[in-house]
Amino acid sequence: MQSFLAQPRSTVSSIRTILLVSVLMLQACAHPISQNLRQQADPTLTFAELLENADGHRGEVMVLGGTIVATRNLASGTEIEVVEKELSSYGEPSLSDDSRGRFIFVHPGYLESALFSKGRSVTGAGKVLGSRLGKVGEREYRFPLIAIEEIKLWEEYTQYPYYYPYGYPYGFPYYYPFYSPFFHPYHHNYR
Amino acid sequence: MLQRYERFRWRRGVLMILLWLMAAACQPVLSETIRGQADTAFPPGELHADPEKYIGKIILLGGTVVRVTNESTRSVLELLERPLGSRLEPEAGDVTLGRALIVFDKTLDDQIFYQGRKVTLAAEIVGRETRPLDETTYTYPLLKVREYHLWPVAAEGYSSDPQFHIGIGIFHGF
Repeated sequence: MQSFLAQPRSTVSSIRTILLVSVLMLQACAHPISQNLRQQADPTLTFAELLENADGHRGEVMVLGGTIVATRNLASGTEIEVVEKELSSYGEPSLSDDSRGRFIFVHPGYLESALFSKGRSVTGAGKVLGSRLGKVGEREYRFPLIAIEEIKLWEEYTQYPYYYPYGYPYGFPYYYPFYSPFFHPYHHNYR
Repeated sequence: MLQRYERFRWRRGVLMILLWLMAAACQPVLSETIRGQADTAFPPGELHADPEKYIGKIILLGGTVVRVTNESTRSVLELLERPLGSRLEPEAGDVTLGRALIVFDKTLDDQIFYQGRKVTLAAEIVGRETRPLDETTYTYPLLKVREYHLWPVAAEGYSSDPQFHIGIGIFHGF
């Protein structure tokens, strides 16, 4: 009797565990852009096509992301110039160097340029405003403009220091308990 | 009997020193005097809404350095204000309350007050100041520093939480 009871109970609890874990996994992979806005986007409209003819796609919703080049605070709002990167299934721009070009996110309000800073990853969605002729270096470049309705600034990718054994990366201020700048146990004293 | 008592006293001394060291590691970063003068209940967002309403008030605030400028009669620290966590340390992450300008009498070295470094201050609200920012203007709350604490540079990849190690150092020749 007891073993008969134990069987379904453990199944229930393992199903519960699986459900809990999958909910947690889903949350971790939730797309930062609302489903509503993503559904409005035309999946066949590619970035390459947008670069070619942004003005022809005015008003269409796009989800784009990449690495910030510069954030400009203007009297009319904020512009974020982005190097486009491919988005993962949960909307995060890839950290690779693969890019098809640049675009500009346009926002009517103030965005903190000290946070939306160079090198950080950003994903945004909104309607195509058209294009504007600008410059990359000294060459003319036609930037597609996107009026962002939603934006996500991804957490900073921290590069960990080189991992040597034996107490590096314990640099200054010498957190490692036995470290002293004058203590070189593996060196001979030639004096 | 007396010997045992003496030994006990010695142990108690070591314990006291240890406790003192631990307490020192957790001490607040600003002096008790200034914390007594400051309005510690001041709601952080209020500073940016209407600083002129609170002229003369001393508050505690912190954040990261945006830049420092040395003008002919004063030096100004441009601060990206962030919420304060334990021990009044500005929190990392992307939450900000806005920018603020803090006036110093002394020259500010941009190699010490470098961009991104955490700083906690006690400062007196002086008013507001509008400055050009990029291609627009920004109206900053203006404060005068009373006391400040620069947070140590955390080794890359390490938390800035207090690290507590007890070690035995051995001095060896050169």
